[in-house]
Formats: sequence, C-alpha cells, structure tokens
Amino acid sequence: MHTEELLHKSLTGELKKKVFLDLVGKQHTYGDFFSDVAKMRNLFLSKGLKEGDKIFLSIEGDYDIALLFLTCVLSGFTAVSLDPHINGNRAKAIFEQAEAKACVLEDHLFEKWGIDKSSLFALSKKETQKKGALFKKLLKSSSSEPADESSYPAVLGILENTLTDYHPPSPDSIAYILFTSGTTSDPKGVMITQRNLWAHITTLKNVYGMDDTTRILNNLSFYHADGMMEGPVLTAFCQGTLVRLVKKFEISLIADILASIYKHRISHLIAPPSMLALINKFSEGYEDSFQTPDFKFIISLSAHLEEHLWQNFEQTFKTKIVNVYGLTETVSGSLFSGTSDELRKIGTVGKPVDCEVKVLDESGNALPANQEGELLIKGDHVFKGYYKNQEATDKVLKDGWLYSGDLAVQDEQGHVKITGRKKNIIIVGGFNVHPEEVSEVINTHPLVLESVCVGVKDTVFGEKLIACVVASDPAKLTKNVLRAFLTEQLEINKMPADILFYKEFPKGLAGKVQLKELEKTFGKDQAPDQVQQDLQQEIFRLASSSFKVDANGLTMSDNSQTVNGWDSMAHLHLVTQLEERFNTRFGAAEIMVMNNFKSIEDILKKHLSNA
Amino acid sequence: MELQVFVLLFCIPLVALSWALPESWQRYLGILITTLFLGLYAPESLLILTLTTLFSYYVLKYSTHIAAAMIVVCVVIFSVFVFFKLGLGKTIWIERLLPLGISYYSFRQIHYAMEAYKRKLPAHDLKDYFAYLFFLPTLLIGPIHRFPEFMKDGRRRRWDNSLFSEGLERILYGFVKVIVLGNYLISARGGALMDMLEANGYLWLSTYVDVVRYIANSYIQFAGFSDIAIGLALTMGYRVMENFDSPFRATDISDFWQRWHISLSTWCREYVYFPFYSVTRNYYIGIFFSMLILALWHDITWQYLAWASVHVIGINTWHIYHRSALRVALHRFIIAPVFWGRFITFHFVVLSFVLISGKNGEEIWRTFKILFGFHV
Repeated sequence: MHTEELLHKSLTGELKKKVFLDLVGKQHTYGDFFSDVAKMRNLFLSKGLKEGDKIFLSIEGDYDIALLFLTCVLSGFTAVSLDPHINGNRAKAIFEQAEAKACVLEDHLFEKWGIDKSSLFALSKKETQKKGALFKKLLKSSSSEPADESSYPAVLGILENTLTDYHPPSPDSIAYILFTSGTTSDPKGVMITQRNLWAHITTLKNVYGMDDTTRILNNLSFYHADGMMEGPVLTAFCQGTLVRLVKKFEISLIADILASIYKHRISHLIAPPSMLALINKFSEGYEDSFQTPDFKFIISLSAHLEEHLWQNFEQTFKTKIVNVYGLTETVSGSLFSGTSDELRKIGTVGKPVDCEVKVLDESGNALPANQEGELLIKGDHVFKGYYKNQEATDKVLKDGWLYSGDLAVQDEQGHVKITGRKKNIIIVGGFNVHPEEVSEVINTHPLVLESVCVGVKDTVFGEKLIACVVASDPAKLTKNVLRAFLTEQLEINKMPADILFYKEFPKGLAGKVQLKELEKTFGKDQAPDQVQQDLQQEIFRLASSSFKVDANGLTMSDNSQTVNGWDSMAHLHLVTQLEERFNTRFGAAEIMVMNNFKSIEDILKKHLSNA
Repeated sequence: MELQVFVLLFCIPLVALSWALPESWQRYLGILITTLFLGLYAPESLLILTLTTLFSYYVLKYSTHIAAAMIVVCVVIFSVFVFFKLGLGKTIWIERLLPLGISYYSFRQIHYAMEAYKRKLPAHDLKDYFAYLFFLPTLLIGPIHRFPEFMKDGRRRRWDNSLFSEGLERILYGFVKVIVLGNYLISARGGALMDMLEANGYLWLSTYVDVVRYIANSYIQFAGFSDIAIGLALTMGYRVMENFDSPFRATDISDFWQRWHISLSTWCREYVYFPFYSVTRNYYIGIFFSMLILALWHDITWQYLAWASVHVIGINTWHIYHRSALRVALHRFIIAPVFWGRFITFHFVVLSFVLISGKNGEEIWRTFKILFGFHV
C-alpha cells in the first residue's frame, strides 16, 4: 500500500475533492478526512508517541472511529479498538492488558471503566455545541473559547494538517489489535501486522475487482474486522467511496437499503448472511434492486451462508453472491467462492486466494479430498499471534499454519466446504460469541448457581445463543430479571436469544455438564430448510399443472409477470388446487397478494402452522 | 391535446426544480405545482381530489377495522366517481362534464385502500400520499400507477443521464404518435382514404377501413399520451408502469387484455376479479364484474355495457376452449396458429369496438350489416 501516495493525493492532489465516506447522508471528502488524519497524527507525535505505541480507541460515531483507526494504521501506531458498549469488567481487563500510551474514549467511559487519565495521554470525546454553518463561520474569528487539547473532536480545531516527516510504517509493526473472544481472565487480542493487513487488502482489491470507481455499501460495525477492513480501509486503498446508510440495521430500513443500490450507485454490497436472510424475506417489490449498471455482486461474510438462502437470494434478485470465509486472525477473508467461475461453487467457501490451505485429521495428517478434518491456512495475511497470550498463540499457530478451528472438506477441484466447528464459538448474525464469556457474566448474578450457553441453528441469524441456567431461588430469578441484568453487562450481539431454567444439569461422572443431553431438551440442530424446500417443490408441482409449464423451470422469485400461463384464470386454478391439497381456505386479501411464489409460500406456511 | 401542452408547461419547472431542490422538499414541490395547475384549470377537481385524499388517508389510518374502512373508502370514492360519470356534476356547480383526472385519481385511491386492506402499503405519511395522487405527469391521462412503486422510485431516484434522455425520447415519441400518426396519418389521411373508397363504391372496404381506423386511432392517441406521461415521469426519475404492450400482437383475447391499457386491466384483475372470485369462487362472475367496471370506467352507456358483455363472452369462451380437448385436436391441423390467433383476436377486438364507436344503435347495426355482407 502506498500510504504516502494516498495521503498526498488526498491532502493536495486529485483525491482532495472526491467523496471518501458517505455516512448516513453526510459526505466527507478524502481531503477533509485525511486532513483530520494528518492532524491527529501530529497530535500523537507531539505527545511523544512513536511507531508501535498502542492507542486505545473506544468511541461512538463512524467518522470518528474510522478517522482514529486509519490515523493509527497509516502512522504506525497500533490501534486497539473496543466497542464502547462492551461489558465494563471485560473492557477494563483489556484496557489494562493493552498498556496503551494514549487513548481516545467516550467521556463517560473513563469513569465507568475506572480509567486514570493521568497515566497516559487521554482524549475524551465530548459532543460539541452545534452551530449553523453560516454562523459558525461568522463566529469563528471572534470565538473566545479556549482550545482544549484533551477533548476530541474540539482538538481538531487547533491542529495543523501538514504532513511532516512521513514515512510508511514498518511491515512488521503491529497495525492493530482486535479483541475477538475469550473470557475476562483470558482475553484474546488478535495482532495484525502492517504486512498482514496490506497483503490481505491487496488480495481483496484484486479478487473483488475493485478500483477508484468502486462504491461499497457496508453497514457492519467498525469494531468488527469485516466492518473496518472491508469498509474504510479497503475503500481508501482502492480510492473508492464507502456508503453507510443507517446507523443500525433494522427490518424497516430494508427498502431504503435496497433503493440505495441504485441511488448511490453501489458496486459492492457487503453483508452477513443474517442481513441477506432478512432482505430476502422482507423485500417485496424491490426484487429489481440489484439490476443497476454499477452493481457487481454481494459479498457475504462473517458467518456460514446457507446453500438454500444463497440460491434463493440469487434467483430472487438476479444477482451474484460471493461467499467469503475468513477469520479475524486472517484480517478478514481467505477463501472466496464466486468472484470467478473457477472459484465459485455454491454451498462451499470456494478456494483460497493468495494463501494455502490444507485439511488435517486429529493426528495432524493431511487428508485426501472429501474427508473431513480441521482447516489450516497459511499466507502473508495470517496474524502474528494473540497479544500477550503465547499459550493461545501456540495452540493455533504452528510453522506459519493457522489452525482455524473449523472442520472442512476439500473436493477434488479444491473447493472447500465448511462442515462444522472444533472451537467453542457461536456465530450470531456474523458476530463471534464465546459462550463461556456469556456464561461467565450470567454466573455473576447472585441468584444463579450455574449456567451453560449453547448455540442453536437459526434460520435468520445462522445461530442463536441459548442460556441454560440453574437458579438458587427459581421463584425470584425470572427471565425478565436475568435479561435486565444481562442488558447492563453484555453487548447486544451477545445477549442470549432465550433463557431456559433447569433444576439441575445432566452431568457425567467427572461432574462435567453433558451438553449433548442438555441440547436434547430444546431440539438443537433442527433442519427447517428441508421442510421449506419440500413445501416449495409442492407449490411448483401444483403451479406447473395450473400454468402448463415445467416445474423444474420455476423458481421462488417467479411471479405472475415472469411465468407464461400465469393469467387470472390459471391463478385461481392454482389457488383452488392449493386449498384442496393443504385442506385450507384462503381469504380474499390472501388471494389478492398470492401473485408470486414467495407470497404463496408465506401464506401457506401461516395456514399450516395454524392447522 | 391543448391541456396536455399545459401539463407539459407546468412540468418544465417541476422537472427542473425537482433536481435543483433538496430531497426533503420534493414532495411539497410536486403537490404545490399540481395544486397551482388544478387551481387554474380545474378548481373543482382540486377540491374533490383534496377532500377525497384526506378522507381516504385518515379513514384508513385511524380505523380499527381495516376491512370496514376499505369498504367505506371504496364505496365513497366509487360513488363520487359514478356521480360525475352520470353527469350529475352539472346539477350542482360544475360546468365541466367530468372533473379533470377523476377517473384516474379515483381508481388510484381505491387501489390505495385495497392495498391498505392487504397490508401491503409501505410506511408513509400524508404528504407521500398527497404527492402520489398529485403527481402531475400522470394526473390527467394515467397510467393508473401504483403507490408502492411510486414510493420505491421516490426512495431511489437520482440524476441519471440515460434515464432523463429516455424520458425526453418518450415525450417526443408520444407527440409524434399523437400528432403525426394519430391526428394526421390515421385521422386525416385515413379519413380521406375512407371517403375515397366510399365514393368509388367500395362500401365494405370503406367500412372496414373505418372500424380499423377507429381502434388504431384510439390506440395511437392513448399510447401517445401515455408515452408523454411516462416520459415526463422519467425526466423526474420515476419509472411509471407501461400502459400498452403491442396489443395487436395478442394471440388471444386474454392476452389482449394483458397488453391493452395495462394499468386499468391489471387494476380490474387485482381489485375486482380476485375479490369477486374469492367471495363467489366462480371465475365467470369475476370476469363479468371486472369487465363491467372496466366499461363503466370509460362511460356509463348501454354501448359500453354491450362492449363489456361481448368481451366477457369472448374471454370465457377462450378459457373454456383453451382447456378443452378441442384445442388440442385443432392444433394438430392448424398451420401457423400464432398468425390465426392474432388474426382472430384483432378482428374480435375491432368488431367489439364498433359497439362503442357508433353514434347510436342504428349506425352500429348498419356497420355490422355491411361488414357481414347483409347490407343491400
């Protein structure tokens, strides 16, 4: 990465006026953004920070976290970023372990996390009084407010944006540390070097075919590797534009997100499967959203993309999904399925790009094709190790090979399919959740005797977390009481989807909870996909007889406009057939909306579940 | 035509300002310009449109029983529509035969009520609904575009060179269709040809040319005005539904109704045919009521009722034939079935239009007698 070139082009060259970030309607040019980067760099240098020094970041606001993260990465400081909503005890433990030379935190976090400002250079983020643009200019010269060097973003107002003595950071210096999982006593900070980062960003740029015309829509959190690296970092590297539409993804905003593909000339949508599942479900009338001259493909990452969702989505929206597999330990991705015919195979994570993979059995022997074992990855993008945790590093990093903890099979053509998980991680809508971390928090409740958290399959989020709890006083500890307690202690993504109470857990001789026995009590690993597919096939069978078309040619995205023979009479023929076949009767409003297979399936499901 | 030119004149600042002003002003801009237009040319329509818009919005929004609210809104809007269609407007204070655009905005409001009942309306507020009904490009001549699509386009509109240029092209094509093809070629030159044929004693041919000329002119004029409306909407970044899809290429009468005045025929299918079917479970009743409403939409006369009846018989006969063994047997012997399908459909449509083109029963009867060789 020519970081120097990027900075110069942004500050004085051709990129100065180009929009870098479009954040919820507010546009920031390369000139403005990197001018702020230069200012923050100058500030940290003036405080004696040097390459390799860690800066602890935990602030709200996409612009601010992107600015500070990129300041660190481009200046050679090590960014240690932590979601400000994280549990206080965990945050404090991580902060202490980080031994940062500087920090930028939301003002209230200093007190909440018990951080002593005097021990390091501390900037506290405070909201500034907003003025109208006109009056801001008028009042600027006459402002008598004292410059505050410890307050962000006010400090930007007194800093110079000149880029003096800039040299790109050393490839071996740590670009950032992301704390992904682990319990309070055993946090795991993934150390990514400058070499790791830029090697992988170069891979992403090439494999996605990105350039300066690229416009990425990525609404993932900037505290998530896929949000930051495949967001502002990748965008800056390509000299493209990053669009974020909403502060937080909600179902009611799906129409806006889909409309924005055309409106903002989006070329790549980056989204976890949970978001794709919701878009697929609540997008009626917006199926043409990806049919724009600029759009290339969707990048699905962070979690397992169900084959059924993948096919359904592509058929409905007539677009392509690229499925990416990677870990925080590999910056973001490693294997890609979909950018080219050679890499693509639905149901797999494709093939490795710019790295090697192999599948090993329990004894460490390489397995032949189509045999399940642990997936190992080796490449320039593989992380240096866990920060101050040699034991954890040694477990996963051997001879440059990263032991992913995921079980996989590789076919003869080299496509890899993820088949299971060796490590104890639950991926909820793209967010890694360490069940022990959640149990640890639950156990701190005075009325909890013990708890176990397990992952259960979920049609939308891929997996969901179920908390199994044994209470000392079941009458007093209700779900609501425990939920209220956990809300204060956990980030929203780590909240259990359900809490189940037990008198006692099934245990083995050694007193260990028998998870398999426990899981039987709430039906783990149900496969709703098969039921759904059978229903669809039955709908197609009846439709083919009503419309006189081949059932194999029908897809869930079809509607009365796309199927020959789906006229008014045939429509009612199908309705009558469905009523007879499923022994139900549809209402007037239902018949009126059954003009596409998706609606028919939804309505039928409703009738069948009520039956 | 004159009115359409005025619409165009009002649309010029509307289009320019719609790209110049901030997004948050767009809805107000459209409502304001249409209010000015209607205020100048059809204040009675402005009043009716405003009152019915407020009525339908608030009844549907605040009613706790959506089916009842939908029925109330549909009955009231339809009654207002029929009241003016029957010419009763003259009995109060309206000089014009029909308030401008009432056929279109009444059906848009009924569509809105039905979609509210189906719970298929996107999240919106009063100004969105007003902006939809006050959308100037389609206000007077259709198509009867749909609210969810209008909202979708509002969300995603942005300046697009190719879309704008496509819009200008459609406007140009529209005017060419109306002025050159419709007014000059079909009406003037076609009329002259007909007169010449009649003067030379070719009565059958002259009558045939006349009936074909009538439907060709109806199609060209209407498609031309639709092109202008669609083109104007495109220049504002809105993709309004198409109204025609080469209707004379239809291979059967059911196909014809999926190609002719699409926004109205799909409206009838969705909001008349399906509800009647779901209540009665009878295809034929559904088709009968659909065609009845379709006829009433044009005019409340015995001629349109007869025209609708002919089409009901035609569509039902086709459906019975289509699913019969006779069709399978016939298709073994017929050479070029597509050609014959088009030929028969075209002439069925042409003959049915005689029912509405004739001034009175006597003239219609005379035309049929000539065409079928009974005239002496």
